[in-house]
Amino acid sequence: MIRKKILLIGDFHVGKTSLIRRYVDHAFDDTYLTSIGVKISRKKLLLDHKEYELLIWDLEGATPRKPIPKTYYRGASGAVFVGDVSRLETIRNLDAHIATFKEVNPDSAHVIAYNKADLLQMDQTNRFQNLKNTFLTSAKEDINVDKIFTTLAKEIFHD
Amino acid sequence: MEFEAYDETTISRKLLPIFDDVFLQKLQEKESKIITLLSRHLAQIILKSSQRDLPALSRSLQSVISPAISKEIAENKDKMVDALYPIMGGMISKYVTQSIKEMMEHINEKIEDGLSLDRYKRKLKSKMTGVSETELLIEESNDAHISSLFVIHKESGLLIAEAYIEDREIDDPHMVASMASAIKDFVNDWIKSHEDAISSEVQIVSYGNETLYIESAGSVYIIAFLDAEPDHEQRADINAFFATLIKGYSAFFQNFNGDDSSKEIETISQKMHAFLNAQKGNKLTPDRKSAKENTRKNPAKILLIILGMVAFGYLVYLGDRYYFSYRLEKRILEKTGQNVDVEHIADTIHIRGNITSMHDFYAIQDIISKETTGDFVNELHMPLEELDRKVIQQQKSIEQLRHTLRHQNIRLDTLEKALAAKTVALQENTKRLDTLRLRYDALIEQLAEKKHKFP
Repeated sequence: MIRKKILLIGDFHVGKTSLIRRYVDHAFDDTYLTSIGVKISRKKLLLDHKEYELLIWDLEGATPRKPIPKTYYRGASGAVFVGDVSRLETIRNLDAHIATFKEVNPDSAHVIAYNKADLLQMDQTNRFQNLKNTFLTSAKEDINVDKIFTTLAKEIFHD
Repeated sequence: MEFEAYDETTISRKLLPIFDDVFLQKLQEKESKIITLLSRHLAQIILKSSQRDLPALSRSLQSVISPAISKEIAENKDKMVDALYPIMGGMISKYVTQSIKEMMEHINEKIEDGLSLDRYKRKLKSKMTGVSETELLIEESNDAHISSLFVIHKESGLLIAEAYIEDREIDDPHMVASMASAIKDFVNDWIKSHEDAISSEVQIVSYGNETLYIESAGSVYIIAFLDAEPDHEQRADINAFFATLIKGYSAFFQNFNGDDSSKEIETISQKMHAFLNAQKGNKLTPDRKSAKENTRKNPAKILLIILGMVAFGYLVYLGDRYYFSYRLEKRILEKTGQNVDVEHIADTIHIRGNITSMHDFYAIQDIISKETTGDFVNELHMPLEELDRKVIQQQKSIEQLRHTLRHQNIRLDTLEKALAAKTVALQENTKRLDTLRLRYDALIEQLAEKKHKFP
């Protein structure tokens, strides 16, 4: 079986952990390893009848007092960048997160999740870019959760 | 209002907004019956809750129990000590007894394993350092023991290979490998940001009774899971083993892509298993333990091994003697052309065979005395016909000699007789000569007288 490391990156309270809990059926307790700013889960998935596994590193949002260790980025084959649609500054910060990540892993794949889409009114959804590998998601309503991870996995394993 | 009083829905709707306040007022009354009623059913409520959703109830109580215990210890320390003493005493006693039992078993294993090289090494170490063998044994029994080994890809934290002692498998090793990597990365990052030691890497992580020993190379690192902190010797052993893996598989490690189905991983795992099983003071798995006990309890096996070793030594000894004999036979054949048998019996060399001449006989003796300083028995034979022929030849020679001697004797007799005759004749001639000399002297005298008479 082929395994790959992926990251979940985004500001505080954008719903990274909720996305993982929705996607992964086997996750450690939320409080696990929070002191070092990372929670790790794993998920097996089938692509074209072949089994793969993702080891998902959920990186805690950085603060000036507690920056994300750059070493966490190393060796990642891909990343899910998460923003909160109800807090636009978290969406704006995504570019900086992507740039930092690509600096360490220039050849890696990534997807963007505009999370908490359940809070949007129908007419508000148009505000968000409908680009490739960019999805409106909701962990609460289970909108596009599997899709972001499957899309990223396909990019990684079929590359 | 009277009409509404018969309608339950209406009553609920009317009461609901004020229910909390009413309930609170009722609880705060001096002679409230609600608390009495609730306290009667509290135990049942807790029981029902635990039956329905025990984890949820545990989580709810978790936040209460710890502070409650802390408070109780702070305020009523003696009561808590009295309450816990019977259990704690037993627990500590059981733990200590078990630890001592394990240590005794370990020491006994080492003592019983009397034929091992380690025993003699320990004896030598004891003599050299002045530390008693018992102390060394106890020290060895305290050696940290590796229960699992992980080889992890440094960049991604993905597990490449693992090995573990039987019954000590780590649950979800891939997750543990990732988490260990995260911890290692976090600590390394912290060290680098707080100290100047750029090259420093975390080597030991301890939690409870478990210790993780981490040794890093370029593209991978190894984690040894131990039950105590490893000493210098054990670290050196782990590092040396890790170095052999790096040496053999560096290209594979560098190009690792997360695929665990390659043959290299199988081979690496086998090597890691072998290293774990070979570690000094290995706590034996049940199968290996029973196998070792069987060996220890079965003197026939030990005797068989000793006999085997003796037989092997004897075969080597026989081989050496056979080669010596073969070499000697070949040399005799080359030098004399005689095909003889050389055989070792006890410590004596026996030479057997038929030879055709005494010259060869002596030549063979000469060769043997040059080749060995040991005793040898000459059992060489000359064939009977050959011997007869030689005897007849000798007899003929003797006869000829006799014949010649006889002739010589006859001639000697003749010569003796001739000599005797000559001697007699000589004697007669001597006598005649004497007579003639006398006559000559008389004539001379007569002549002299005549000269005197007739000057």
